[in-house]
Amino acid sequence: MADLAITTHQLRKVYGDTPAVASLDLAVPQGEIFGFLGPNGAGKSTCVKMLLGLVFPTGGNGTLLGAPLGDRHVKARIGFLPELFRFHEWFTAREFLNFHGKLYGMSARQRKERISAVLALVNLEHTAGQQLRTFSKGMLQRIGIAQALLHDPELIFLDEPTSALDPIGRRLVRDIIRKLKAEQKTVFLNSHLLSEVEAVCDRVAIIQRGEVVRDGTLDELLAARRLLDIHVESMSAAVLERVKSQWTVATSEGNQFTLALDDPADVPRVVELLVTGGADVHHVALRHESLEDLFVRTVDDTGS
Amino acid sequence: MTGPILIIAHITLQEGVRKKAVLGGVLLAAAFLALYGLGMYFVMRDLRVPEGFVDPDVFRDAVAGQLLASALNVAGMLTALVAIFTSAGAIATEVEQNTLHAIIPKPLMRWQVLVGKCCGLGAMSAAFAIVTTLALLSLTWIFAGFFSWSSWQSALLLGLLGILLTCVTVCASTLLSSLTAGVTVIMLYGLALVGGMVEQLGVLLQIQVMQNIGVISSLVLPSDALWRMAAQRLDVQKFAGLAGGPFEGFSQPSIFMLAWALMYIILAVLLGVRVFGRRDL
Repeated sequence: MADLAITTHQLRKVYGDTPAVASLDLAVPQGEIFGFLGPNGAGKSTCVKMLLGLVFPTGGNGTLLGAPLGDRHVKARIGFLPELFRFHEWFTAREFLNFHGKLYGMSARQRKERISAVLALVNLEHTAGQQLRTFSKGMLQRIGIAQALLHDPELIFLDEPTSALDPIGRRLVRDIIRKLKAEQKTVFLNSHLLSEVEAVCDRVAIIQRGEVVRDGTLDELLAARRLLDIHVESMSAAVLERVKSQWTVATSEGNQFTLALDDPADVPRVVELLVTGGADVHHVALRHESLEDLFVRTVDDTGS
Repeated sequence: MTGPILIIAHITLQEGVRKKAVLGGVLLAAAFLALYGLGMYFVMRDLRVPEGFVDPDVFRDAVAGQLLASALNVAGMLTALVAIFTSAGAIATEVEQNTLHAIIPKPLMRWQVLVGKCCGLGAMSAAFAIVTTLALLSLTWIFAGFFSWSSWQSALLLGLLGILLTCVTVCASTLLSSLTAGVTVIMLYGLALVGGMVEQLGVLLQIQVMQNIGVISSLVLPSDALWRMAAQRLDVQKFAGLAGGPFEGFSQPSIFMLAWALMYIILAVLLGVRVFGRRDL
């Protein structure tokens, strides 16, 4: 495995008696796009905040780019777009980026060059002199991405980076993430939009109650199980029982149901069973499990 | 190490200008000074020296000195209001609005953010106090010819009052919401003010318990002690030939109270650093 950009070992956060993050163990290789998933309240944002020094862990430890959490020198190599992207709105876009550039320790010349570059990257070069209070939510999110990328960081945390964006803005962010991957940057992507995560991530971890319940590369995770979508009419209860006795019904709704298959070679057997049982088979399609399927299954299995 | 502090101090000042807090302070001070100047002008023009008063100049100085001391009292209160209201949200509002989420992960330490805020806001309050006091002194000199070489120290002491209240309010703002922080420091300021009055009455009536109450209230917050030291530096008694008065007080705080005020500022900043340094955002 490549060098690790992020590691955590039994990272824990407890508020009163309530654990927000029970025990988080993560290993994110450098140069990968990492998707961090979990249902609401799973502790994702708390994890991100602990990694970035906004929240202090109750226990455990971690590293970013090889240095312990909170290392000031490593902070200069990290970019972050917060989930609640609220900025000082009395700044103009250029002043805002100039201020953050100063905090990163960039020289005046570097700031001048990079501010123009990142404004162009997020399609906001025409608003450089506009105050942030006049920006729409989508524009604020894009200027937030610009400040996260201003100093050309090695590791970028994007917390729900498209929550306020329209489809065009989402595509823009997807393209930016792909560009970052091409530049060998590590991106830690916390998002509820699973289709987006599926489109750009190399690796994902799903957490539940602050613990990783499933992780791996997307290819590994999604190739493990095949789903067979079936649409039938006039199927007797007896036939359905025979199907259920041999395969797992992943979802079922009216005359349509989906079977989880361990072996794709079972498809002809399923069809034969249905046809010989007198069912009218209208549609059969074999597919890989989507990230959404995997997410729902994982959360259902580990949730309650 | 000082880089991030200066950056934060600079944007704090810039924010004050952009959000028109500075403009509000300037307008407030201008209105107050205009009123004072007019008052002083008409008092000096229409003043009648009572019969039997040996030296009319001494009487004029006495009146001008009392007016100046009362105006300095108001300047002290305005300084307190400016310092408290501009600082109450220094950390609390940033926490409430999550604006710190984009700043704390940058390569700087939390204490640098807090010290930067104290520097920016403290400079604003101190500038307000010093400029207002110097303007008061100038108006008094122009319209009444009343001047003392030690009175520039009053301006500095009132500036220190602004810094003291700024640092205490910023410290409160690390722990409390903006509103609660502001109200708490105003209550403390009021407590010190009343304690100071009790002490002055204690001196006048020679009641030791009342004097002790004043000393204790000055230890709780040395704002009133600073103001009384500032009033003393006006040298009103010397010019007026009077033994004290309601505004400059009947007794003066010791130099140790100045040392305590400086120590208090350092302690407030250290406490703020400690609380903010451990707070989850």
